[in-house]
Amino acid sequence: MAAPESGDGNNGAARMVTLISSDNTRFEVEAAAASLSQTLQLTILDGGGGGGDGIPLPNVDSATLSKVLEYCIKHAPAAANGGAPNATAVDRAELERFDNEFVNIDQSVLYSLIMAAHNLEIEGLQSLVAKKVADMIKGKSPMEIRRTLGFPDPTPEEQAEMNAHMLEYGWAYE
Amino acid sequence: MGCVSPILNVSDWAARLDSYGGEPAAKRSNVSPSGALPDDVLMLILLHLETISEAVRTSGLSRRWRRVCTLLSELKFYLVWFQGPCELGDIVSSRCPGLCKLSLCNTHGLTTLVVRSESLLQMDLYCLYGLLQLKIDPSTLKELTLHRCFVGNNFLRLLQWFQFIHTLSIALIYSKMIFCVDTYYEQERCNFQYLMEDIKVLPNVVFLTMLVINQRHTFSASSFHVLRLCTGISRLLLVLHTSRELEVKLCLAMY
Repeated sequence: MAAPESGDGNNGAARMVTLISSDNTRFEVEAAAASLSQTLQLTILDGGGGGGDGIPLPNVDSATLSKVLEYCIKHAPAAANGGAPNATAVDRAELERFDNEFVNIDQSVLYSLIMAAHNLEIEGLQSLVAKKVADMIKGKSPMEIRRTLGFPDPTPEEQAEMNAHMLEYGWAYE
Repeated sequence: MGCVSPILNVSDWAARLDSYGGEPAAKRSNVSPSGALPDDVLMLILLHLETISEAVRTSGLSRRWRRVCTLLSELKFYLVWFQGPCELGDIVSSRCPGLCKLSLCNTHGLTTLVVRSESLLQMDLYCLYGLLQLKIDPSTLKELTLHRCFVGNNFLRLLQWFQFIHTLSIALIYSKMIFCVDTYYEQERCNFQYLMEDIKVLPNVVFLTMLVINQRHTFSASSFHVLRLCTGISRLLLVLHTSRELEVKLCLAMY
């Protein structure tokens, strides 16, 4: 479910806004979905992003923005219900399934998503990607974490620091 | 200013996670430190690790991660066996200047916990086996949970000490019956017995949660005794464990 690209019609009752990625691709989405971004919310409340204007996002490229909007569109209805306290178990399970699949992606994409979620201040997405990275780290030794995250092999100096750390905080390595 | 290329390769990603002020990893892959993940993103990742053991292991990764670990506002220790003299209190006091909430649950071998923190607002302690001494600056702490941490008089003394607590959660084991079962856990629990009537002073709390563990004893009189000590309560949560299996039989909430 990719975000619709550069449409210009307001054919639904829902208000639409246009977002422009760093590589000048235009995305038209419902204002409610884009408003999951705290950064965009104020602009949108002020009436920005409508018509032919569009809101430029110089820090987010089109590939990442389309992924971000996929998340926002999926989560907008639940967010509109105020965190959906009366959502059915089925709805919640569906969102959870979507989330799990959503972050099942290449690390480089995950990184771009982290930065985008941070810049756009999309709380749920920030949490989702942070949790994904945390899950990649959990239960692993520092060396394993380094490998998982693709750090280069430690220099002798770094290795010595890691060993000293392990000695100092023995309890954390049990 | 040119844009960052949309797709970064894996080693770039590593450098961004790791780089900080000319750390070796950053130098090697020529990524400027300014491209690093912001501290609050790293912190969010650390918070999702759920336990401090995980976060501390992560802090072994590099100086940057170590520094970010110290910025955490919330620490949780769950199921940790401490060996030898542990300076957990020292670590928390000296290296976590922003710590607001400290949770310890099911620790073994932690005998002394001395925390000097000006930021600590909330402390939750559950089942700290073998804890003999607890010292915290009582002037900043606002919320305290103490479940099965102290024996008799030590517990009572501790309660008198916290004058500024407004939210308190305590477990009161109301039983004179020693029932011996052979598991380690049950034997430990027998050591946490004290009676509610023994409590003479309670901090002037506003929110009180009382977990009463009871074995077919009448406890209403002593519950009222405790309530009489706290005249400023605006919310009370009373949880009664009445069966041997500690199953919750009745949960009363009054707001």
